[in-house]
Amino acid sequence: MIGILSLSAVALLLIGLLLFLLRRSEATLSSDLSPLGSDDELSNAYESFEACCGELLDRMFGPDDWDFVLNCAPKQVQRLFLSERKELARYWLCQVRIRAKTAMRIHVAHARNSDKLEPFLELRLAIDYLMVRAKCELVAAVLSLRGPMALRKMIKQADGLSDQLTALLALVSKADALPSHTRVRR
Amino acid sequence: MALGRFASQLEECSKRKGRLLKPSLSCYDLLPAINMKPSVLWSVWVLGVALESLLLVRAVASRWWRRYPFFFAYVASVFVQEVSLLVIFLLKFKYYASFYWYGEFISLLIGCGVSWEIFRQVLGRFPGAGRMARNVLLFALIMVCTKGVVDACNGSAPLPSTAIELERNLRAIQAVSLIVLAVFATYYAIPMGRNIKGIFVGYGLFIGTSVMTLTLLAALGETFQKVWVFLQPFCYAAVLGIWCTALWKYEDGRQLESQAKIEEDYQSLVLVARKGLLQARTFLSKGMRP
Repeated sequence: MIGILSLSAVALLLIGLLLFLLRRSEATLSSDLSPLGSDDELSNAYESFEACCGELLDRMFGPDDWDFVLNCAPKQVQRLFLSERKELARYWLCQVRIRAKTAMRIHVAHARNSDKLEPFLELRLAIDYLMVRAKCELVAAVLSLRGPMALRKMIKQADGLSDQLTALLALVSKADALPSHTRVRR
Repeated sequence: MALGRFASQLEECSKRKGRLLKPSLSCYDLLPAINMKPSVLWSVWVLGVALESLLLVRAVASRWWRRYPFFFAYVASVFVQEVSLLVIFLLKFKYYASFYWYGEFISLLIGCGVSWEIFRQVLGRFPGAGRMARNVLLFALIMVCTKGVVDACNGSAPLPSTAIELERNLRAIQAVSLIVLAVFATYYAIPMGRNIKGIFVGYGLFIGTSVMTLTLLAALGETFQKVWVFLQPFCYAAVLGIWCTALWKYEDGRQLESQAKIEEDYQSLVLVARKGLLQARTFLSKGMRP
């Protein structure tokens, strides 16, 4: 049974990959072949993006505006505020995705010609990229379920939980490390 | 009219011989096994042979068959096989089964050449990606073969006892190699010309459907037989359609990567990519933490 399933999976995987290749446009691939920008150009782009985003992100994900709207505005305005903030957060997430995707696109478009390709470096980059994408998907899920204001709260809660867990683990390991004669007899 | 008469003649012939033919790429066999008009399957067979002849005539006339020798050898071998099988079926039926399986394994061998040709054409111009793909393929093949040998020694999965199982296993190995190629072509966004893309997608779909149908045939036996004789010729006709469309005009895709020949230091490429990913991660963290 496992043999049948694995062979069917191989066949389906091949068919799926080929259909994806068939749909891929060759024109978009050649646009990836533009020469790399200089390091300064990339750094300048990063700094300008960072400068305009730092303040905006605090407004977008911070509780100040939302607390004000919650106290002073009617329900309809609250709904409108939430939906607009959600849109802004989605746009920001889209920018992050594009940045990661562009970095990888430029890399693969140029690295495929290099005969000094190192498998482990390539694998590490691919894993890094997948981690960023996975994080983006997680944030997107939180945004659509709870809205942008909940994101930082949830992260704070998760941090708190992780701290508690670390403290608990440390306590357990300390208890295990204690010599048997120092333990209290029941 | 003539087609219908010939199809009925085939049906009568197979009834008279009292058994069904071995399934093949051709669809004139096993006609009574399914509830379809014989003329429909016969038309698909004729369509297949016509498309194969069209491909061969076009390649010979324009002389670009030399670019893809294994592929055209494969198409020619299938064409010769189909026509000879028809003649054997009508005149010397007792040789049909052995001829069919010999032919099938010859086309399987030439098929390995087609896979190699696709690898060479797709990754030949990209030494880095090509080397990675070869290493991964070697690793995958060693794993598959080791697993097969260990299973056979343990007795958990015996060696293939029928021609169908053997063909299925060999096709599955080809499928694994094509998966490796497809993954690398997708990940490294390898530009492909229309011709090689058509050959790759068509041959890959043929291998994929063959593995699927042979697996189900070996597992379910007679139950799947009726579906198989219907599926196999239609899948093959679809693949021939893809090949004809892709190979109608010559285009090898070299112009797609002509700009990419600028030499760049690999380590600096990795650094730039890492920097980009680090920036993306920093933006994410800024949004998530005050």
